Amino acid sequence: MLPTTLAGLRAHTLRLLATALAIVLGVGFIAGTLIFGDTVKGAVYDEFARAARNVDVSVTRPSSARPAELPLSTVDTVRQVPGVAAADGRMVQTLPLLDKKGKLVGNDGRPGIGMSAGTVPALRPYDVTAGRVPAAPTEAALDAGAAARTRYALGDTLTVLDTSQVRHRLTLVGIVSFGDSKQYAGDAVVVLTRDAMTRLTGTSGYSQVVVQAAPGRDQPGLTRQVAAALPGDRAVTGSQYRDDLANGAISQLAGFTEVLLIFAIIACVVSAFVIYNTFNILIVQRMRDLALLRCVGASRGQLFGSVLLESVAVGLSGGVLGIGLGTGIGYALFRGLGALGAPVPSHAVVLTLTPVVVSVLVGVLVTTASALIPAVRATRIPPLAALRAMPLAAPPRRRSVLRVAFAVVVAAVGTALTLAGSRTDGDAQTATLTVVAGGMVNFLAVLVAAPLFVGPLTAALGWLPGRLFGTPARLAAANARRNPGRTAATTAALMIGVALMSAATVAIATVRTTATDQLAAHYPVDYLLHSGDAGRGGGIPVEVAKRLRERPELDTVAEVRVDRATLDGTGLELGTVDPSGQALLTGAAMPVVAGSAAGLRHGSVVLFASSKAARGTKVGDTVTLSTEGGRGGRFTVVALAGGDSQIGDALVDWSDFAALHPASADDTVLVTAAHGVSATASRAAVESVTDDYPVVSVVSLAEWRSEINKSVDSLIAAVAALLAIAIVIALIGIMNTLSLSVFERTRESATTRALGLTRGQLRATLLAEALLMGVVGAIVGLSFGLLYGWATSRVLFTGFAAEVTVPVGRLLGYLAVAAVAAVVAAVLPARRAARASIVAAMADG
Amino acid sequence: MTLSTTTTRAAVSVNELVKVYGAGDTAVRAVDRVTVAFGAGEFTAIMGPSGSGKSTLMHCAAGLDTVSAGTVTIGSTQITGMSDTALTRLRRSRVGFVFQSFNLLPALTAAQNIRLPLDLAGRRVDEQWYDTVVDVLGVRDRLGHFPAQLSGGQQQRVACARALLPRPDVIFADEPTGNLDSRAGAEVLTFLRSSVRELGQTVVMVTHDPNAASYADRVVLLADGRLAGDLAAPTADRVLDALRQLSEPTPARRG
Repeated sequence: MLPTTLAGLRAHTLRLLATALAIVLGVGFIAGTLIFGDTVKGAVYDEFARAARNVDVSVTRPSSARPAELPLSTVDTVRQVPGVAAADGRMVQTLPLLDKKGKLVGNDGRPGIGMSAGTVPALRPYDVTAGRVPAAPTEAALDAGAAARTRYALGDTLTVLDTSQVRHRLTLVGIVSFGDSKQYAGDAVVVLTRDAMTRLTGTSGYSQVVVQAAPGRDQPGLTRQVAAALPGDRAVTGSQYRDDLANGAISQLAGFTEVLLIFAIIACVVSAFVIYNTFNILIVQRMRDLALLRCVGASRGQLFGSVLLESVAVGLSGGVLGIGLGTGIGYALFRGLGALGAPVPSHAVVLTLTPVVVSVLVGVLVTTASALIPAVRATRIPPLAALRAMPLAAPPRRRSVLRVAFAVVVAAVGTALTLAGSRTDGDAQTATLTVVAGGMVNFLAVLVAAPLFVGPLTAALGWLPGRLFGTPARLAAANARRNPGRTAATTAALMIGVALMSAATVAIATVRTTATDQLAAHYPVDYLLHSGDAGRGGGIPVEVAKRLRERPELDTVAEVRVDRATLDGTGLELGTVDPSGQALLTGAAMPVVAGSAAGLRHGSVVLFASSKAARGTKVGDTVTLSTEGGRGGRFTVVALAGGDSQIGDALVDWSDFAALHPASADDTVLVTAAHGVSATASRAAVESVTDDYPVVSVVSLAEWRSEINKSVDSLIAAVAALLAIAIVIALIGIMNTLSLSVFERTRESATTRALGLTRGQLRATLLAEALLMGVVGAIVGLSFGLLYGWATSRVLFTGFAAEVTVPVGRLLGYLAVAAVAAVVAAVLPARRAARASIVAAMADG
Repeated sequence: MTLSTTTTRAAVSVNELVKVYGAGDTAVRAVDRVTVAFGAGEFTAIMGPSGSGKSTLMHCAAGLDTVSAGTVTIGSTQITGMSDTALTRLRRSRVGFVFQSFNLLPALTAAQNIRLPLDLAGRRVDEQWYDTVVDVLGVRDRLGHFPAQLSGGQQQRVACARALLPRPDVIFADEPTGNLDSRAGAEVLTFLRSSVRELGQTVVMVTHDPNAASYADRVVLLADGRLAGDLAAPTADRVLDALRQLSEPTPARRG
């Protein structure tokens, strides 16, 4: 049997390669994602080589401990431990650096970093590339990247801000390099003496103490001893430290890789449909050959094995080619990530065994699993089929009752899940997952029922073109209908892609609308002032608001303050707004669920329903608010607000907040322009004040909105691009099905040509058939995606008063793309069919 | 080679037709300088042993295949040298076909199959003529059926109706009884003959069955790509005799 199978493989090489293409794309996607992940990991490990250089033990403080930093005495304690050759403390703190024009050298709103120079050269995380390490409190070194951007040179005077926003001048004595590391990529790193760090950043301890072991001392043993000397602190080995650093950096990317893998799996599912369909058609076409094999004595098992072996060969070649494609995809992703400015150093592609094994396994398993049913079908061919003049495809068996019953049961389960998810009052995540699960089950029902409705749908869609373009279009509709099972399986692949694409588009568009709505609701203002230095609790100096109020171009200037507090024992963020801005925040814009926010006055509190502290609280309840400073009081809940809060979990009156937190700075300042003042004039007025406070950043709401729109658009584009692979695979399926159908209908095509169908009309017939299949698949997918995009968005944004947005234009665009692409997929098969000679084609029958 | 004496004008005439397959040493002259005319309103059978070139002659005469040399004229239109599209348009309205394996389109109903050539030509169906054709062929109660639901004889009758409906200059029938049992075959042949005698249709039929040929008004014999005989008012016995004579002088035959 093996030689026969091999001969068959040779004879059908081209067709099987076309089938393999589908699996190559799917596997390539998976392999690419895995290779990308490995490469990022490899790069990140190298990156942290320097930070962990010579470090045998690293000591840090658990995040829950107070104070948050290791006391200076830690280094001395560690030095006492036998086997320690050297120990040094590292201070790292936020430190705003100003450029030559007096503006903050920021990175996405983050200010620069200050780092202590360290006393043990071997344990420094940087190399000095020019000048020297700062020795006096008025000296500083700067990292090479920041020096290049700010054009500071050795001998220049740097300006930094301390915690009270006071400027300090330092002399630049050295340029340091963190090598390939992008740990601080984009951040300006200023290296200072320990004393200068303490003076400028207010830090009084080390964020980390690093230890070098004496020669011959093993890392784990020393680490245990150091840990014993410092109870309550966390000591890890140097290699563990390096792993932690790398994993920390990767964890951000891990989410990205997971998302990619989901899309890759979708691509593989679509491939499975294409392969299933292709093998099915191949079996029908080779029915005569297979029946002949049965006639000459091949057993059912042998036929089954032969078809399966063929699929293994296809899967294997697809898997191997997929690794090649995947390496390319992985490298492209990696380079693309670097180009986007992500903190990843350059690195060669890392090809480990895992992606190779996974690719080959996935390729073979998906292909053989898809070929299983066709293989069983092959065994059912009666030997007599070889003797018939023209082995016709078996007439579709009437199993529609069974099919309908099955589809109805599955749809009932899916709908029940969906409704259950929609009605859940609990957290949005569970509800969303339930709805998505319901959607998946319902989609299965759609796939099961597809052969039943694809025919009528095609007929309905083909009616108008049939009227308009006459016989070729009508023939196309008839051909697309004649094997509903095949049409359904062919279009199913497209349905999946288009459904996901449209569902994602609806969901993302809803995010956009919700975000802009929320923006308008929470900030009915023109400008928002933030502190770029919020990490140090600095906030916006109160003078900023005072000076802004003096400007005639501005109307409302409202200060918003947020600080920690506990409500009946539960920690929360407590917010307030000064009386001038209270109407802005608690007016019509606030999504009040119960009570009235207008009643917010001395002794009352508005709770946001999304916060944990608000659980089980009703309007009219009395709650106790207290602060770490020991202040507190009893408050009456006057309103519960819905949605996501931007001003803490609870809102109290300005005077009450002042009583709880007497020394708080402003978190945010909200500014509205005076009536009739142009945007340029009001912006200039705001900046005339904020220019004196480099850490205060000004956001114009108009800019913010356009930024949200931009990021949403690029998100939609990214999702579309990822799903495009699934769509391409689906189109390969259409091409495969059509070329096999063309082959099957050689005689028929010749007959219609003899009866007067021109070459052009024959081509048009096939293109129209592809168009119909594409449009049917896209319409079903689109309808389904629309329904579930809507359902998912509704539960996802429970409590946000979200308006589900349907970007009709974009969705119609998907329909058009699917239709055009389907036609493009049919060009080659149509050309081949039209070129065939009539006489030769008839003789073939 | 002499032409048969016909009093009617020619529906199709073939002049010095040559068809060569392949090139060089492997070239095969399937049809070698054949000149013949098929009279309008006549039922002609083309006969000959396997490989005699009878099918090739028909394909070329019907404009389905290109010729290597010579001319083919249908009515007063010379079709050799026409573009593929022009030929296709001509076939739609002026040539009808009946094939050995019926060649109905499985996706279309019997009625749709019958109307197909006129639909392709964008011509209106003469409903009265359609009713006549459908009734004469006895397929009225099968019009809504798909080919897979019809017997062989029924399928071939539908194919005959399809060929007749555009009132073509000529109907070419390629072994129309080859896939039918003798009773269904006789029905189809009787119908072809009556379409000539009663409806004035021209039919050219390729067959290797002397019995089928006996339904024709005239039999043209072919051997090794050349004309080898011409019988008027043939009977099965005369055709058989003529064929036997043909096979004696040329034992070697191309397949």
